[in-house]
Amino acid sequence: MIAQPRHALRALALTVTLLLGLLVIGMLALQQGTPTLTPGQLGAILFAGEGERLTRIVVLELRLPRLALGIASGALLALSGVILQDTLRNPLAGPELLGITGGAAVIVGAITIFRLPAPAALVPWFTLAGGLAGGLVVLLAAQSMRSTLRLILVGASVTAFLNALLIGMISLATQNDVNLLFLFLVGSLANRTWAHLAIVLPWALLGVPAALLCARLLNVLQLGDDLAAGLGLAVAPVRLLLLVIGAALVAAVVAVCGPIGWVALLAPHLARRLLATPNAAYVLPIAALIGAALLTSADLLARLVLAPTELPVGIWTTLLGGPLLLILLRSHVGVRHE
Amino acid sequence: MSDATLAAALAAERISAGYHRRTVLDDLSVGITRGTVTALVGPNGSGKSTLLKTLARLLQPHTGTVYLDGRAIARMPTATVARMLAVLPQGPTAPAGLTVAELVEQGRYPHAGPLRMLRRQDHIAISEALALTNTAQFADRPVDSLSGGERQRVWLALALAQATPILLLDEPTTFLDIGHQIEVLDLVRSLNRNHGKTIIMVLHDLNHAARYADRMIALRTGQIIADGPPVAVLTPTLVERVFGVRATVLIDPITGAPVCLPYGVVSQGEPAPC
Amino acid sequence: MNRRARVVLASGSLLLMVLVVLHLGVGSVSLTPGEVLRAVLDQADQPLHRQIVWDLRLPRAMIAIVAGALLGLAGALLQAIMRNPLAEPGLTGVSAGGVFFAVLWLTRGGTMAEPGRTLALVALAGGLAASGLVVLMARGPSGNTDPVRLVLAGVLVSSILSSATALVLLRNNQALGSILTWMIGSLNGRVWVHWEALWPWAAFALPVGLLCAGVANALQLGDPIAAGIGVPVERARLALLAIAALLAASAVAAVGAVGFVGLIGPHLTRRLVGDDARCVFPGSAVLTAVLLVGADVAAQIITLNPPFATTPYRAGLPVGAVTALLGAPFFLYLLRRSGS
Repeated sequence: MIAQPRHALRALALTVTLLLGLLVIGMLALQQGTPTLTPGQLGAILFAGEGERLTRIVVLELRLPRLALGIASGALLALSGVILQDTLRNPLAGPELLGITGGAAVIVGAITIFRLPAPAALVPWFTLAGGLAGGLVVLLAAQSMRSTLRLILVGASVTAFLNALLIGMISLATQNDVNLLFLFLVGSLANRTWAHLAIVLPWALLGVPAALLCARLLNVLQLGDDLAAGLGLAVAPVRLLLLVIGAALVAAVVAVCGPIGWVALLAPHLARRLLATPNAAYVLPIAALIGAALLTSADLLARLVLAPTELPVGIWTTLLGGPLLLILLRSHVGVRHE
Repeated sequence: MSDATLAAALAAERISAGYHRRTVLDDLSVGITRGTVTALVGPNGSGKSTLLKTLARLLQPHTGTVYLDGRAIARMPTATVARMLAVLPQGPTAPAGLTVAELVEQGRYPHAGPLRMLRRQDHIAISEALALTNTAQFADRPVDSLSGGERQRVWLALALAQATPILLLDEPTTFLDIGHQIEVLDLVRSLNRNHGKTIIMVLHDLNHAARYADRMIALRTGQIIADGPPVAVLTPTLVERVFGVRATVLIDPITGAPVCLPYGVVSQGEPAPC
Repeated sequence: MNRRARVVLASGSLLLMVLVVLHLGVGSVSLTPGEVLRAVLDQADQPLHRQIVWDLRLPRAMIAIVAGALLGLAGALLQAIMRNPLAEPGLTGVSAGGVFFAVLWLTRGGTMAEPGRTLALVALAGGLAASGLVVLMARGPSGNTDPVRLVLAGVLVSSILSSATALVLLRNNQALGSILTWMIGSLNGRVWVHWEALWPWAAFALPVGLLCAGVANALQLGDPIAAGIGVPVERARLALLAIAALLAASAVAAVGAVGFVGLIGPHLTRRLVGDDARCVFPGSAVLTAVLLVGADVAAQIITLNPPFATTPYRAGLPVGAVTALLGAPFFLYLLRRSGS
C-alpha cells in the first residue's frame, strides 16, 4: 500500500482530540445549568440510578436528549456540507446557501401555522421534499454550478423569497405560533426531548454511514466532470443522487430544530484545514465530529450565557460561525473564484 | 460497419458532433489502428478537441456511431468503457492539498467501484503507474507543489493507473514550458513503444506532432483535410491550406521528422493555392 | 444612448404615468381617471376628491415612484460592480440593517405613527452601518474586495442582523405586528411627512448614481482592463458601493425592506437595452418605479377584493407581499433560460 502516513496519523490524532473534546463538552452540558451538578453527582445519576427525582428528570429527560440531538444534528449538518461542497466543487455550497434549508423551513412553518395534519415522525419527509424543491430551483437557475458568484446570488434570492413566504405565513398566524415560528426562523435546540431525538435518529443512523460511503464518489467528482466521466462515473445521475443525500441529511434536522445555519458550511472547511487534505475519506468523518462539537458548544453558550434566558442556538451559530467562515475564506476565496 | 472499423481499436463512422445546437464535426469518419500514436492537429475551432471528446464518449454525437474494439461505444456500460480507454482532458486541476498518491489512486475507480476497498492488484497498478511516469518519489507530496511537467506526469500516472490499452490526451503539453513539453512527450512515446499503448493526442504544436506521432490527422472547420504519416501530411501546401500560413518544411537531421518553419500569413483575397 | 434605450425610457415613462393615474384612483373611494386628473389639476368634482388625492394618495404615489427609482438604480449599480445580473440591493446588507435598527428603535419606545422622519433616519443609519460592516468584512488579505467576497459578506451580515432582529422581537413581541409589514415592505399610511424625509436623499443620490454610469462601464470590463484605462479600481468600487448603499438605504427607510424589485427591474432592463450603464441606469430607475407602483396598485386592489375570508391586513396588503410573489415567476424565467 502506498503509505500516506501523514494524513492517516493526522486524522487519527484529530479524531482522538475531537472525541475527547466532545466528552468534555458533553459533561459540561449535562452538569451546568439550574441545577449545576458536580461530576460525582452526574455520575451517580447516570450510572447508579441515584439522585433527586427532579434533578434526574432535568438531566435524563432534558439535558441528555438535547445533548444527543446536538451531536446528531451537528454531524448531519457537517456531512451535508461536505457532500454539497465536493459535489458542486464549490467552497460555498451549503444547505443554507442553496435554498435547501430555506425550502425545508417553509414546509415546517406551513405545517405549524396551518396546523396541517402531519404526524411528527413523518415531518422530515415533507421537509425533505421542500428542501429538495428549494435546492433544485437554485441549482437549475444557477446553471453553471462552478460559478460561485452566480450560485450564491441565486441561492440568496431564492432564500429571500422563501423567507418572504415564511414571514407572510407568520403574519397569518396567531400570537402564540409567532414565538414558536421565530424560533424556527432561527433554529433552536431548546425543549427538545427524547421524542424529538427519536425523529432524527433513524435519519442519522442511515444517513451517516451513507454519507461516509460516498467518499470515493466525491473524490472522483472533485477531479472534474470530464475526468470523472472518463473514469467511468455516470456524472449527472451520481451528482443528483449526492444532492438528494445532502438534502436528506438536513431534512430531519430542520424538521426538528429549525434552520440552524453555518455549521454545514464551516465544519467542512475546518476539517480540510486541519487535515490539510481534501480527501473525502478523511474529511467526512472529521467534519462530522467537528460539526457535533460546534453545535453542542454553541448550544452550551445558548443555554448559559444569558441564563436564565435562553438564546436560540441558531443565533450563536450565525454570530460565531459566520464571521469565522469569512476569515477562513479570506485567503481561499479570492484565489479560487472566477 | 466496415471491415476497417471492425479492425480498428477506436473508430468513428460518419459522426456529426458539437455542443448544444452548434455542429462542429460533420459526417466525419476515422479509424485508429491499435498500437499507434495519432496526433490530431488543426487551428482553433477545427474540431480536434471535439473529435477527441466524441471518441472518448465525453460527447454524444448527433448522428453516426463511435466503435470501441468493434462495438458501439454508446451501448457499452460506462465502467467497461473506462477499463478500455482513459482520457486526460485539457488543463486538469486537482483539489488543493491532494497528494500524488491520493490522486493516482482515483485511476482505479473503474476497477474498484465506489465502495470496494483497494485490493492487491489495485496497489500494483498504482505502483506501476508511478514507476512508469517516474513520480514515485512524489507519492506523498501535494500535487500543487510540483512543477508543471511533474504535475502533468502525475496526471498521466492517473490515466495509466486505469490500466487501459488506449489513451486519449487533450493538449497534454499546452501551458508547459519547452523542457516539460519534451519530458511529457518522451514519456508518451515510451508508453507506446515499450508498453504498446494506443495513443491519440490533440497537439497544438505541429512540429511536436510530426516528431512524436506515427500518424497525423489535420482538421479544419470540422473536416479531415489530411491523414497520414507526418512526412506526407506536414507539407507547405497543407500548412497553408489548414492554417493559412506560409511555411518552409525541412527534415530534422537528428530525428528525421519534418519540421515546419512559418514565415508569413496568407492575406485575405489571395487565391488559395489548392 | 442607443435607440432601444430611448424607446424603453419613453414607453416606461408613459407606462409609469398611466399607472400613477390608476394608483391615484384606486382605494376605498374609487375614482375614475378623469376624476383623478381633475383633482390633481385642482378642479376636483368634490372637495373629498381633492382631499383624498392630495393628502393621501399623491404622496403615496410619489414615494412609490421615487423608492422604485432608488431601488432600481441601486440594483443596477450593484449588478455593474458584481459584473453579474443577479445582484440586488439587499446584498449590501442595507435591508437587514435598516430593519434591525428600526426594530431596536421601536422596542425602545418609538412608534410607527410618529412623524416618520425619525424612523426613516434610524433605518437609514442602520442600513448604512450594515453596508459599512459588509465592506469591512469583505476586505481580502490584500485589502481589496472582490465580488464573491462581497456577496458572501453581504449574505453573512444580513443573516446575522436578521437573527439579531428575530432575537429582539422574541423578547418584545408587542412590536411584532407593525414591524412585520415593515419587514416585508409597505406603502400603507405614507403621507407627506414621509415624503419630506425621503426627497432630500433622493435628490442627492439619484443624480450622483446616474453620473456613475461611465465608471460603472469601465468596471464591467474587469479589474485588469479597468485599471489599464486608468480607473482606480478599488476606490471606484467602494465609491459605487457606497452610493448604491445610500440609494437602497433611503428607499428602505421610506418603505421598508421591499424585495425583488431591485433585482428584477435592473435585470429586465439589461435584457432590453444591453449592458451600457448609461442606458441601463436611467432605464432601471424608470422600470423599477413602474414595477413598484404597479405592485402597489395590485396590492390595493387585492385589499379591496380579498380572496380570503379573513385577512390580517385590514390596513391594506403590504406592497412587499406582491413584490415577493414576483419572485416566483422570476425564478421560473431563470429556470427556463437555463434549460435552453
